[in-house]
Amino acid sequence: MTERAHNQNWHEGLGPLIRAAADDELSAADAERLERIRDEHPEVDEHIAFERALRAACGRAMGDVQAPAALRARVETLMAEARASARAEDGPEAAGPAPELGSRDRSFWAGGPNAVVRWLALGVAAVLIGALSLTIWQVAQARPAYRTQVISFVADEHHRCLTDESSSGKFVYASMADLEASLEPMLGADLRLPEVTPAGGVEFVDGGRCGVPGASGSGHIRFQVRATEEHPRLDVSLFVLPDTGSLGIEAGTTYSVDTAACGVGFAEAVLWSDGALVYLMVAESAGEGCAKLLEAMRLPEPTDTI
Amino acid sequence: MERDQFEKLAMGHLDAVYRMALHLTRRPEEAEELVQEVYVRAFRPQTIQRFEDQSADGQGGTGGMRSWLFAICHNVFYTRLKREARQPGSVEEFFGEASNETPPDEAPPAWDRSQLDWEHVDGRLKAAIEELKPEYREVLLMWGVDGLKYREIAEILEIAIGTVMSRLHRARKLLADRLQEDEGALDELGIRERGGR
Repeated sequence: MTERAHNQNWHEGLGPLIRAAADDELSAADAERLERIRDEHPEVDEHIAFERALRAACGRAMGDVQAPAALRARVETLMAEARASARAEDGPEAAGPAPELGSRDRSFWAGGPNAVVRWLALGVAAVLIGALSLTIWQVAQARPAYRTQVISFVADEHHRCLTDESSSGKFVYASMADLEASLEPMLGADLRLPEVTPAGGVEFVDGGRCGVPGASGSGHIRFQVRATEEHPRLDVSLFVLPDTGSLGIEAGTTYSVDTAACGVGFAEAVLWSDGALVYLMVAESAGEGCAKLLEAMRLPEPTDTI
Repeated sequence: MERDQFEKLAMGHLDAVYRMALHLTRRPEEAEELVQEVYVRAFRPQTIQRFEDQSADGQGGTGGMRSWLFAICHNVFYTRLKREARQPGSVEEFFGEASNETPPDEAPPAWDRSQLDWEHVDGRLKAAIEELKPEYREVLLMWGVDGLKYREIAEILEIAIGTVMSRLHRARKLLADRLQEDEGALDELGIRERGGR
């Protein structure tokens, strides 16, 4: 039947109704009205199916975009500048108390022909000490701080995607093959995904690209562990990103993440690297989601905690 | 909200904002400039305060942050466009066309789903999306990729829900029409309208 033929018997207002149904935007009254029309026009289901398929295709066609790493770096710089500027605007008290120079021997700080040289020498020494301290501090802090940021992000993202239905547009791949075809070129390495089957109690749900902080590209893949007598149904997220060494983990070790220390104690998380990629598995802390999926991936139980 | 928390939340939506900027501008360099301007505005103390006030009104949260950044992106883009429109050689095409915002009451196309091969349609669809006017691409992106509700899109763009529905309808129809235009391509793509065509 052509579109024109369809329109000959078309109910007034049915077009918007179909589109709203496809978008899950029907009011209760409209849903009832659609049900009544469906009895007379069973083909509305095909129209709805078309609209849904078109939406998913639009999601795939338009969603395949990530911010370039250089842009991310520039925005992070802007953020740091804005933060510094905001602190400066808060006034001198925000920058800490002024040094009490008056208590020093005045003859050293002022007066005499060498005063400028002394000030310059002191400034250079201060800069050197500051730079050295900063370098030591950065080496000591950067990896754990970044790790915490990433873990916090993936835990929040896992939770958000479970609770915020507007996030569904992100998950445009409903098959592992499509997902691999999309993610592997972006990640620049082969993905290693669990071999899951409904019979094994774990199912692949969907996946898509994700914006893990600091990563040039990353993926978010969702699985579901079937409910058993021991636990309810569990949702598990697997995040994957290129291993740049920034997370400071060793290949061959599966780490259990101390999520409480990262401020996301509501989740359990496991982290490991494999090949050129880092994998972060996240589940609700109440279950055994990670353990089940680790088993499906034939990975050892965590042997270390970070 | 602590500034650190705010920054983290905002950075978490960088990809989505860039995607929006790219679909509005269609040029990567312009999109990057637009994104930077969005974040410069977002990181201003007074802007953060406004976001906090909105959050307190129940409009904030994670989804709130994304909507809020989208709104800034939309406003910055169209402000620039309007500014350029006042210059000689302006881009009147975006604003000059009168459009009837009432959605026509016609049926969306019906397809034999068993014949659909959406994976292969994606490339053709991308090209068709590129040809849409920015206001159509914008709603399509928020609807198709970010999964926003009509109400959320309406709030971001500061337009009526009916206008969102109308633009979405037109965008969808244009795309569907484009997919039907080339019957040879339909054969090649494995798409077949129910009942033959």
